[in-house]
Amino acid sequence: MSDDTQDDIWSLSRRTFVGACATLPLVDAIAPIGSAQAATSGTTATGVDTEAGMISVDVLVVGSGGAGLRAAVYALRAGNLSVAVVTKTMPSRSATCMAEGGINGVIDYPGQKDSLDLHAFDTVKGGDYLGDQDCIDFFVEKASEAVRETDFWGTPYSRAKDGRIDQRFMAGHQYPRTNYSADKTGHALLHSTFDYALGAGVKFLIDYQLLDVAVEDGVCSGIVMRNIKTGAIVAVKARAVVLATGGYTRIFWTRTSTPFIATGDGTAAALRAGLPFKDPEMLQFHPTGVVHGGVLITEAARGEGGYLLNGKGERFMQRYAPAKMELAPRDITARAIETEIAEGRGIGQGMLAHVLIDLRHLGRDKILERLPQIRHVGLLFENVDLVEEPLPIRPTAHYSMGGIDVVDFRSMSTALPGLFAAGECGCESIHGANRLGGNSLAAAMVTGKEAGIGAAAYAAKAAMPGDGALLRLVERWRDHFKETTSRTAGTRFTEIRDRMAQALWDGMGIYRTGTGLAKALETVTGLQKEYQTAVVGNAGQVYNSAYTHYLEVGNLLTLARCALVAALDRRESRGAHTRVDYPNRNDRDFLHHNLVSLKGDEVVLDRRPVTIVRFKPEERNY
Amino acid sequence: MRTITFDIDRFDGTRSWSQSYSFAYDPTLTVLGCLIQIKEQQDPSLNFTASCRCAICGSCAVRVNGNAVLACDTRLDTVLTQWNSDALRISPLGNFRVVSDLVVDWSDKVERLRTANTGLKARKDFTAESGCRQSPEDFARIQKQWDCILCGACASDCNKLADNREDFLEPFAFTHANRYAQDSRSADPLLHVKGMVKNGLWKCLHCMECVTKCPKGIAPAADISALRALAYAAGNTEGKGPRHAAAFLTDLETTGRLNEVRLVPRTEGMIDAATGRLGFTWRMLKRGKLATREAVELFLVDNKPIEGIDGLRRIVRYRRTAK
Repeated sequence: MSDDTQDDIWSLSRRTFVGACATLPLVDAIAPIGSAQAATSGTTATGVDTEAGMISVDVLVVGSGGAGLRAAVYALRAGNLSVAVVTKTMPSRSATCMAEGGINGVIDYPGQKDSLDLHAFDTVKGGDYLGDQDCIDFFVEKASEAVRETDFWGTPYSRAKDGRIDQRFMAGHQYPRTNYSADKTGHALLHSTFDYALGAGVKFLIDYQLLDVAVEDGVCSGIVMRNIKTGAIVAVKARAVVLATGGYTRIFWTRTSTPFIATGDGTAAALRAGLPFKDPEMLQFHPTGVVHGGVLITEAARGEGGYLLNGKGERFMQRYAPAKMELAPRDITARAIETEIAEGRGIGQGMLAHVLIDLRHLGRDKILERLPQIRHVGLLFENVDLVEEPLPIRPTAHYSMGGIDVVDFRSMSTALPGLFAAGECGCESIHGANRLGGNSLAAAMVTGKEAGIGAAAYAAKAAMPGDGALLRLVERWRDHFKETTSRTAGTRFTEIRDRMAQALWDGMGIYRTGTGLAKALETVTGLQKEYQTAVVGNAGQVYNSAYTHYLEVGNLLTLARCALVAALDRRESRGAHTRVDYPNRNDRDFLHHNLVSLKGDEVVLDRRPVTIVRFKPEERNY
Repeated sequence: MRTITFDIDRFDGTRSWSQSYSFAYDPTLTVLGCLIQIKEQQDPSLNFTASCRCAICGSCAVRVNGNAVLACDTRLDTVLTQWNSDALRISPLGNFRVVSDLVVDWSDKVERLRTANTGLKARKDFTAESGCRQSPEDFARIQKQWDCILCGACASDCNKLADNREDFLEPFAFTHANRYAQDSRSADPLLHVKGMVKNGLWKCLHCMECVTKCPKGIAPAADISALRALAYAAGNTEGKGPRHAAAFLTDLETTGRLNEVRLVPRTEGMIDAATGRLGFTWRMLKRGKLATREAVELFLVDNKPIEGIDGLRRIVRYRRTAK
């Protein structure tokens, strides 16, 4: 076994790679800039050219959540290609592991009434007709396959008596089609996929932060990244790059359910590489987060029969969705809670105002068996035991429907040849203006797989790109580190982050207005300027987490500004985007995707029609 | 005003030191909340890792006064009461290479986990297209092991790893192997057992630190026992580990009491025991830790069977025949 006192990451990778997978000599493909082993150029058994001073790999996956892991496994399966996963943390720390409720997929049980068509329709309607219907048809079919495949890969699913995967109801669906593993489905899927990827020989570069995507002669030529452990700025040349870096709801830093690390790094890098950011204003607010900090109480709590109660003890969903009650989709439920609070029927004041979720009638056994994780969260953050009392909850920013513009959902390719996007960081668009519960894990599994296959197919034919852009970016980022970390006077950047979060919660939260959005845009644009001279507070090279976070906040500011521009332009209410000043959906003027790009310092907006196939837009009510 | 002090073990890649940070007591804080507050209000150069802050991603395990905990899942009040002190030492996980401050290196741990042959190898009657079948009872048998979040707490406080990391894997790796070995969907449990014999399956010291420290209530030591049972049943009966286990069972069945004089030769073989342990035995006799007459009796005659030995024997027989 290996000696872990080694300091040099590269010899560590080299050694561990040799030990772990002799069949795929990626070892020769991965070497540091200017190192001795990189200087010995040549062609490996996998056909990877190791030119002097440049790490090269055939398919590079950035991000190690559900989508990234699936992409890596499928790129590797294509055969004869070197594949590596770059990840900012140890691979299992992603948002995927936090998903609780389940993964949607209609399984062909004899005699059932559910069908792929119905799953497609519910997804289209749930997304308030902003989803592309050809893509959604493709998605529901692949989601069904993904559930069966992950079962075969080892995901421990909860079972029905006859041995099939058990399914539960999730809001906005006509039938129970959410396959689950207790209330830790994301955790179970992530770890089983990670285990499977380890067994398949997927290689990981752990503790590397994505800095930029490089473009050479109109194609993606790889990425520039920072070895967080050593501070080294490193270029990776790749025939194909898959971005699977997750969403950007961390723009609401103090009121979001997502992990600290989900800061939209890939989406921001794609924007800087010239790609459009599709539907960035479409941000989902989950109706049930704990009051202190916004950690999620899964929708399964409502799916299993939980009641939402206001300060008067009324099941107030009666007023908003009398047929579905607590099982109404997320956007409707989140608005209902905020309305109760705004109209004085909540409990408490200000940011701590809340309503209650009551599970007591389910009984101790059912709570312990089916919802152990949310009981734990209730105890930790509110010191409330759901078995004994109702839990205070309020909406929390939860999911980004928008993302990097994916132009071909069959391969998950973007407009930049060689660059692919998967999972929450991409927008195909499956979820439209509002994602249904259980569709995010399904989308991660499906889009990850298709991106892996698409990237491998592209890489097999593509030439290894040139170095010029990569080397220029390496120089620029080395200078950036020196310049930013040497500042001693200025605003603390974490203060800028928290001001951004507050401005966005106030201006681009659940209820939006033209004036509120304009004010938030002014604030965020100002904060972007202040950010340029903000203090990092640590100039060290070794694991400088202050600089890591400084870059993350910069990315979030960019993404927030794009979202505000799109939200201002969308003068209608659709799905998660609720304009108080334009309360109705307006298909005549706004049945289109917003495409936001950066042109120098400016943010520019373009539009693309939504693909309608079978389901004509109709009023969305439940 | 009540003040709390964290003495944090710092490391910047070359230099190690201890640094004290004081802050106002707040009963709503978790240990992670304290670390975030220190970093954002006092010292941005302090490094630690955290991601989900709700005990499911495994990023933020650290040691508080030498004991591994998940920082986000540990209330400040709990550890203050536990140690009866307003000053706590915060250190990085043990048995890991420290990168900086409370940040440890997972790269080689991931490669070591890979040697546990993770990933399901499903039975022949299942396919990727059709999925698998499993009874709710069989799912329940593996559910606990799937709670592992790879936080490293078990590895940090493992005494066997502290002694020697070359011939033993992290406790979580055994839990990973066992969740596939016990899975009714597996083609062959031994696919996940054989490799673990080479990875130190019989070398666990049974100190149970991994069981005590797991924030998810998993018992990696029990997974090691379960894998040993599978290995033994499959014919892995030679070597000190299996023989040691067999010797315990023999004593249990014959007298119900452990015969420590016979245990050593049974585990190590008569020749090894005689040559390797003679000096040790002599010293024990000389210091009065072992009575000569008692030792001779135990070696030649054995203990007297305990009261109720028949019942015990029935339990052993039942366990042997039960599936």
